[in-house]
Amino acid sequence: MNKIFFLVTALFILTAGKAQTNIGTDTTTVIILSANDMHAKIDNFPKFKALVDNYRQHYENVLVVSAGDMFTGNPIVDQYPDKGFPMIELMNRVGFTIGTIGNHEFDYGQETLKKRIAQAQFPLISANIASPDSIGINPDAYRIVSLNNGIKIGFVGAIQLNSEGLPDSHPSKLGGIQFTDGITRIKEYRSLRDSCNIFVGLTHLGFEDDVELANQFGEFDVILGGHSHTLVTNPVEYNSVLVMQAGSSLKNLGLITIKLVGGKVVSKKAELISVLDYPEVDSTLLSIVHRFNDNKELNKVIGTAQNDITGNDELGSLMTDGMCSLDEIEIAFQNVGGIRVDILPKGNITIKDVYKLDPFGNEIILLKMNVSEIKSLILNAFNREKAIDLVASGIAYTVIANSKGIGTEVKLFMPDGSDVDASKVFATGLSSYIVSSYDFKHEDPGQSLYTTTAQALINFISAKKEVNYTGIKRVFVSQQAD
Amino acid sequence: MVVYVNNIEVKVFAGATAVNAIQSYYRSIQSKIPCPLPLIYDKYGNEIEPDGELTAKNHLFIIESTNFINHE
Repeated sequence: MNKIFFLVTALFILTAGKAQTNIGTDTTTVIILSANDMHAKIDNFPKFKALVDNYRQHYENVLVVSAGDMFTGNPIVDQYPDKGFPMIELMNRVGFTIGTIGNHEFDYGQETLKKRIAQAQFPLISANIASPDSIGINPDAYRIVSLNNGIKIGFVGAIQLNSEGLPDSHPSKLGGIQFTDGITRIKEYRSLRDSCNIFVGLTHLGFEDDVELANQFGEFDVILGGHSHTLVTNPVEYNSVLVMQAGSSLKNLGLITIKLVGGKVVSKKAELISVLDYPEVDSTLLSIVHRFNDNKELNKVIGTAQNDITGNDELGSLMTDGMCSLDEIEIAFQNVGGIRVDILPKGNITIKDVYKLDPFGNEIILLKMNVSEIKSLILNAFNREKAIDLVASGIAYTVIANSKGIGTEVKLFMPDGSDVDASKVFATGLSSYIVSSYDFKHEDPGQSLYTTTAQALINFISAKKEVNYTGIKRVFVSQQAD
Repeated sequence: MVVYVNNIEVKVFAGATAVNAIQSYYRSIQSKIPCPLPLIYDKYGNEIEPDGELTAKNHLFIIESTNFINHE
């Protein structure tokens, strides 16, 4: 299927491409290749670059754009000494034209984002982000790209905001920056339509909001979006605006073909094309990706285990202590299924060791939980397998089980053995997996802290330098006769 | 925040992804999460990848594989 697609595409390029791109005549074909939510996945860049170059060989006017979330999602990039830099290096080499800022661009912190913006050889735009000069994150709302033949392509950007009015990143990374509603801000740029031949919304709002934007803002020719990781295989126009998104992780691209006659758009179409199935690679980028993947930082020693750390009690206690090292968290729980090694041997602990122990990329979710809710969580988790399932930090417990091994009651106590205040509400850290998959009472739906459990553990061990969990046990079962 | 899976209201934590909503959906109907995961679609019929980020009131629809393995 894909081979046929590429043969047909190649035939189309050879027969239709160059001939229709006659600079100086009234007919122009503009190709926009759109990536979104690359999330630091660098391995597909060699194919991506070869694919882009193929289009550049056959068309005069090829633009490459990013609809946000370049960063976060690959330890190779996230743990690089200059966090995120591999993405910027690769995007520069591909020759991106423009990008919009996504919520995960903030994950490495404001200073790091400013450095990455400065290193990018393409502008990053957003209409609904502003900050004082002391912070210095003030992207342009829009940019107009001029082709050699005078055709102008306008791009306006916007970022998604959650119900708190912030992008989905840790609030500590967003301090001092002003965010305003993206659709409202974009509508202030209607007049740009008159300054451009092609008008593009380059957004990180999610597909449903992109459709809403299209319905309110018919001035756009096309909206190229991100955030929801939507695979638009059959692109549709809403209010005469073509809305496109291409999944995530650079597995696919949006291919937008816009034809103009006399400076006016006469046709536009979008297609989803596979990067994974593209048969060629760019050898230079392949060698660069290999170099990045040989990330010595992952072998960096972040601390020392004074003794072997073994079994679910010791390893789970270490992991939950990592979660509790976040200021927001008082107590934390880790499910034993998420403990993926049997031992951290005595000696050096590396970043790679942490990712082997905790490879899933789960985020830490903060829930305000009362004692009854905590008991419900523990008891329901126990009764899934009739065995201890949750290891704890900041609190300890005993499950009382009947003769059939069914948990019937939970006794909570503080780490020093004292009783738990029955009226207390605990700031509880749970992995995103537990919050979504476990059945337990909780009034508070929770709030992601946009930090992975692995990153919290890396930070914890790095701060502690030496850890010793020999004999640590915080959770117990007491089986009683009926 | 609230999202909808197969038109059933599901409460998920702020910052949840599509797979988190699907897990919560199966929990709410007291059913095991199938493996492989169901395909996830939005209300326009587009497929959504499991790690797609959600915003409040998103509508998701799922189609289970016909030969899934139930995790018991």
